[in-house]
Amino acid sequence: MAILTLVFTQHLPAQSTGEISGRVANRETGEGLAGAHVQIVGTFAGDVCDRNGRFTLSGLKPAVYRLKISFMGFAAKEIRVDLRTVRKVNEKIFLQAAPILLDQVIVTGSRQPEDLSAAVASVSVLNAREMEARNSFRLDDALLAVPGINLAGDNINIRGGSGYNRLGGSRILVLLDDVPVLTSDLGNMNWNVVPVTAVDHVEVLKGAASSLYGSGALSGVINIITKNPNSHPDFQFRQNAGIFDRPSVPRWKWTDRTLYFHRTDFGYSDRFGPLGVRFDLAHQFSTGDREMGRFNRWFLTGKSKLVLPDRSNLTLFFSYSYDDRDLFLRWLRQNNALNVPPSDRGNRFKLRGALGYVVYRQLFSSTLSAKVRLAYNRQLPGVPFHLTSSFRPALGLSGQVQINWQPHPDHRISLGFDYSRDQVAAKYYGKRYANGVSPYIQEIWKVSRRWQLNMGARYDTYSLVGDSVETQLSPRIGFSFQPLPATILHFSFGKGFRAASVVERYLSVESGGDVRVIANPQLPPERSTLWDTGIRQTLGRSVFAELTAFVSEYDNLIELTLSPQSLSVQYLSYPRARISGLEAALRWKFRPEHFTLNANATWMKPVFVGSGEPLPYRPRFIGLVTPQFFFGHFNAAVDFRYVSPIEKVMVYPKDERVPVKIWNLRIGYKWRNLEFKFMVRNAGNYNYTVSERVLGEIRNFSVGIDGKF
Amino acid sequence: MIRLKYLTITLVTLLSVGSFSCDTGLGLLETKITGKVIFINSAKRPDLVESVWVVAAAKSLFNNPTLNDLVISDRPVNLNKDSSEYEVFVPPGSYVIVAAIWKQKDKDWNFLNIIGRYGYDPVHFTYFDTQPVVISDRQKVVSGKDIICDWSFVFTGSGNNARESLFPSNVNH
Repeated sequence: MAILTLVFTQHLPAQSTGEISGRVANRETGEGLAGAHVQIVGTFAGDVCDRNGRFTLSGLKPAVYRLKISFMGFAAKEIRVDLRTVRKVNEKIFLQAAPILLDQVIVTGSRQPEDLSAAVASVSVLNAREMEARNSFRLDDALLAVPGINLAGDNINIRGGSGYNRLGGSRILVLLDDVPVLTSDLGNMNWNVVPVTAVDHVEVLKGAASSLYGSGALSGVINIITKNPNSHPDFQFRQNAGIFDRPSVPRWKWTDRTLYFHRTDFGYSDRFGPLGVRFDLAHQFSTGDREMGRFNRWFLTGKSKLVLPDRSNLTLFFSYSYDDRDLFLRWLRQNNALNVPPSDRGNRFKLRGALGYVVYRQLFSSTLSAKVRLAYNRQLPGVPFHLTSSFRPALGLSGQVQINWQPHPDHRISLGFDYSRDQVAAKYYGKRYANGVSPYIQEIWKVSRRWQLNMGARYDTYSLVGDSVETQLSPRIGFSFQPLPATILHFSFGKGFRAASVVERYLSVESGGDVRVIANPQLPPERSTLWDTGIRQTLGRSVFAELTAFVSEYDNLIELTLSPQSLSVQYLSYPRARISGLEAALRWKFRPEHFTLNANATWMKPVFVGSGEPLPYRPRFIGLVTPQFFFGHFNAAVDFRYVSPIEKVMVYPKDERVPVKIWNLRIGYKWRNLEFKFMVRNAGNYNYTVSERVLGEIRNFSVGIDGKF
Repeated sequence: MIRLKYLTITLVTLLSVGSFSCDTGLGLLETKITGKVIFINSAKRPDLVESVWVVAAAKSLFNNPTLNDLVISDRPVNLNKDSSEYEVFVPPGSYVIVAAIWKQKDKDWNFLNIIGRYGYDPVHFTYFDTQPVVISDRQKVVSGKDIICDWSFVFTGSGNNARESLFPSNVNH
């Protein structure tokens, strides 16, 4: 949840203080709204509802308070509570389902909680329910439901910003509860660091955002917000198993074995006095639908929140993940698309990831709070490509101090300082150390009831010890304007940059196989500029539509480049590129209890400036349509996803390329605390490539059961 | 009635989506060039050769081809036989050269390491076919494009005579 400033008000000194508690529920079903956000208007004080929808705000002085209650998918509500004559007030608050997500509180857009409706940049939110419904094994797969997102191999793209840069660094900054979690060597994301079931929601900030988060936020930020501990005992489980169908091309059949997968997830949460704890354990196994497609993953995550007596709290989080998987790098040939070349048969990869952070928050007054964070990220590749003992763990250490200050009801200022240190060592890029130091300031200014202005700047210094020092000033400005009650216009301008990763600069592999990799230590940082403007429009109670126009310009994009005359590769910088486009999203609830339709589409023009040549690995169009039908205890939904063919690729340009046309079908039945699910993924058994010579997942069927007690 | 209405909307949506995605996308690649690779002067085969592959190129290998212009066979030629079959699956198009190239052990690929090409007779130093090989949807398989490879053409950097004899200046490559 939006955890930054929450739960401060609990357990305050008892000196003539009062308490507001209550329950937030769905008006139509009476169901408690876990994760609903309750905030005292004009302050940093607030709480997040537990699984039963309960909240408590204690230690309040006698006064009249205005509470704002908001939850994704429901219309926000404000209530007035008078604590002048009584010590305790218990409120029952009902929220009305709404077609829009605007009343969600987000933290990614400005480094402090704000309403999604007022966000100056394009931000999308994906909640746990949507992720669970799609039964995604990995977070990046779950994110495909977000407008403008597509995958190129393992590279997640926001509006085409990343392309496909293989072992190159991510052009999207990935955060876990605001903590940067890109690996220190590759500068990339291990998407298996937390199971999908431990995630409460994901906020996706589109476009350059280095003024907020520094290096890496070149084309966007993905902030994974994990579930908080509940105030009451809570046990959840999820069991799912399925089989892969035969390929639609009979000649591709490569084994007579039954190919299957299964997953198990457990979650437990409880509160012991001031200490709330939550643990999630998950296991996933798949034979894969192809040769060298097997994986076996374990995850353990824990999160605790300790409410301290002096208006402060302490949050601890750890996660351990173990991922043992085969690597399908390319098919043997198109006519054997589910087989690998014999030389690739031993490509097995093990990754052990450990991640932890501790955050201390202190509320000095209702208008002044501070946060101190320390984080540790260790990723150890095990036996990639038979290269035992060639790698040391990639270590990322980071710290942050941030002060939130509200000097005036219309001004909210965040001042902060980020520090990061990367330590990596491998036979192929040597021992490398890097330090990053970054002060920043952000302000949200409520100019009037209709206008909001966001401004900020950040100065990053990134130094590779014994090598280069790079600096970058990243400004940002944006506004939102509400000319009519149901209309919001927004505009934002921002800059982004990404320092080349250690691998991109120093990776050097002498020939011994097919390909030689040549180091390029002088690689300059990638830089980007974003212009983004749009309109959010609500029509009645049933329709929400959003239209956004964007232009992103990129300089010095780093691409792994194959020498035309010999099979040697090197990371090289490419000249200026531009991606412009339009994005549309529609959420239509004909009758919320019976039928909903979600649709989104993104048109893009990704080109090199000057030559007009298309940028590699970017589609021109991405679209998703999801009709959902509710009938008593039953629900059914279809996802249809279309991605236009990639116009340009770098390695096998002669290969046939087709659009992505995937439809997934899911049916659910709810009975008491249980939900039974049946799902077909890639129901048309459609064949397409996710990256060059790598086929997308073939049709599979699964059944599952979810339980919450 | 309301439920029926929404059920109908769902079914119509499903059907329209289904009809839109009724094709199955990628399938088998059926267009290819086939033939034999025939080695001569096997006694001169140097140890530094790691493997031999067949490539089809849309433009001359001397004219800075990119991978855009090249298609490489899926597997190397069997070096243990003096004659073996090859096939290169290629998209429809016109290929000005179908050649065998060799890769040196522990070295990078070099697409100019040509050991033989279709249309050239290294025994008599003559060209018998200089026309491009054309693959189309109407002619999906072009067979009999035999490549005679002379191990003495393995160029090790000490001279250029062999390669020049493969690409004489009076022939358009």
